[in-house]
Amino acid sequence: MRAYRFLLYFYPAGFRAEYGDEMCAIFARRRQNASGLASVASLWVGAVADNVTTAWRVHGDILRQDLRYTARSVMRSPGYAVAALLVTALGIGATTAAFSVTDHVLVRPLAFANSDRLVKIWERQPQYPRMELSPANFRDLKARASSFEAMAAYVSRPVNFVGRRDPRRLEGAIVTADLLPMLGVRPVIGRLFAHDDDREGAPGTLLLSQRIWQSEFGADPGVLGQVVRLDDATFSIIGVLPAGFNFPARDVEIWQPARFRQVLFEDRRDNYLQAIGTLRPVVSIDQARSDLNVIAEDLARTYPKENSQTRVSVIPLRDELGPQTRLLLTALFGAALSLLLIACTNLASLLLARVLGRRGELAVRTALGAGRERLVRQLLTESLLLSLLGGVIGRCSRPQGFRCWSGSYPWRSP
Amino acid sequence: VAHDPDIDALLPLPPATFHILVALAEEDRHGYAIIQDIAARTNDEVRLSAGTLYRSIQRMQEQGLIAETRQRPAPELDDERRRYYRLTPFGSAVARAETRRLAQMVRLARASGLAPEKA
Repeated sequence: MRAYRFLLYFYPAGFRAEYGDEMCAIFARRRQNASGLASVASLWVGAVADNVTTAWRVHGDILRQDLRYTARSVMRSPGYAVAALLVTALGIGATTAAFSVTDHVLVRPLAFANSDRLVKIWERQPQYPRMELSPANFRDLKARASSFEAMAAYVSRPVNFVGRRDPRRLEGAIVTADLLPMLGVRPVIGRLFAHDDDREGAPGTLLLSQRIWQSEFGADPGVLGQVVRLDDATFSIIGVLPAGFNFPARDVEIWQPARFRQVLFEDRRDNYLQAIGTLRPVVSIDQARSDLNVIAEDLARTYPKENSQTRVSVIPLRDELGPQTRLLLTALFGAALSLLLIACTNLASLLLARVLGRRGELAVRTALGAGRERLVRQLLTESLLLSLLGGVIGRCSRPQGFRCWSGSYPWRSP
Repeated sequence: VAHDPDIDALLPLPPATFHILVALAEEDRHGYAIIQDIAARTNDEVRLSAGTLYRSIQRMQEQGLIAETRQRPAPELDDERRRYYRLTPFGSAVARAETRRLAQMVRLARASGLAPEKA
């Protein structure tokens, strides 16, 4: 019988106190009537199943009752409810937004293929530790470096886009043909750039973001091969990149191939290219740095006028953020946590004030037979419901805060 | 038949609730007696478990369908751990409304040839 009494602990204390003895008495009678091992075993299996399933239903009954009571109580004092919801939403919204940005920027791996081997390549001058590359230096580094599986360059370039609707100003990027395969992106329809698209004089081709494909072309698969105007030139659409591919910027909608003209290789001080590379699997970042700097020193000897002081920096792509930015992000997260703590303190004060105001009501309920467990459960349900609703509102407002903070870390954000 | 919104809100009744109302229609009973009565009326086809019985009893008390009674049998027949329940007038009205509803359903089924005609 002790085992059966233990099963009754699945029920709320009030229910157990009210009906526990009778349930035990019924079980004892049935146990007396059961003869044989099989029927005793069957009785026990039935008792366990019955008590576990019914206990959940009894808890559900009480929860429904408490929720109805909470709804009535909130209707009576909407000011308190709105204040509690706002305080909770603010604390949770700010914390989730800050955590999401910190998580994506500092914790999670980048959402690209071989993200642990992706590196950013900068030119380095005594006065400028991080400078973009000139096309000529990029070409030579790429051709001669042995530490890299692939190397690619890109530059942001907003464009005037004329498609099926009114002309629009769109964020765009010019990329070398290696870039997209290197990042592991696959087109939704069509194909990526081939090396033929990327040579001087090749016909203009472009890739669309899924967003612009849907808004401008109604997600029409027949968009492939259609001709659109970018600024004053015509380009044919060869593919659509998936939603969520945000490289090199969050709002980029158009990618076009670099198609470097020969004249661009003549000036090694024309630094405007961003460069990234994928290290070979066995190569460390120090080896890659040495490899590129050997080439840079050789280029300095060959082109002393432009390259005498030019060296190369190689850093993991995920560490591209400087220590100050990391500190700033950590501080932001800390500030959001502090805000959450302040919100919790305010909420606790609100709840305390409310409970003090409800002493009379609680006394009446106690006098009518409500046990301490029942009252605590009711107050907990009320607090949890308000917290949950506040959390939902906070979670819904997270995208705004998230967009606001994640603008600086485009390709790291979902 | 006039409809009472308080009664209509409870219909249709869960089977266990209806069985308990029927069991208490004749006389006040304690929990185990309710289980036995239901089993006897249904030729042992319905055997309420203790959990189902007391969850139903709790809800029915809250809904005002049944109430605990202070009247107890003679001491030699009584067990002080037992609690006796009786049907309230409201419970009786709800049981009658449910019976009418079920009878109407049976009439509809008969009219469609789904149930045998009354003997």
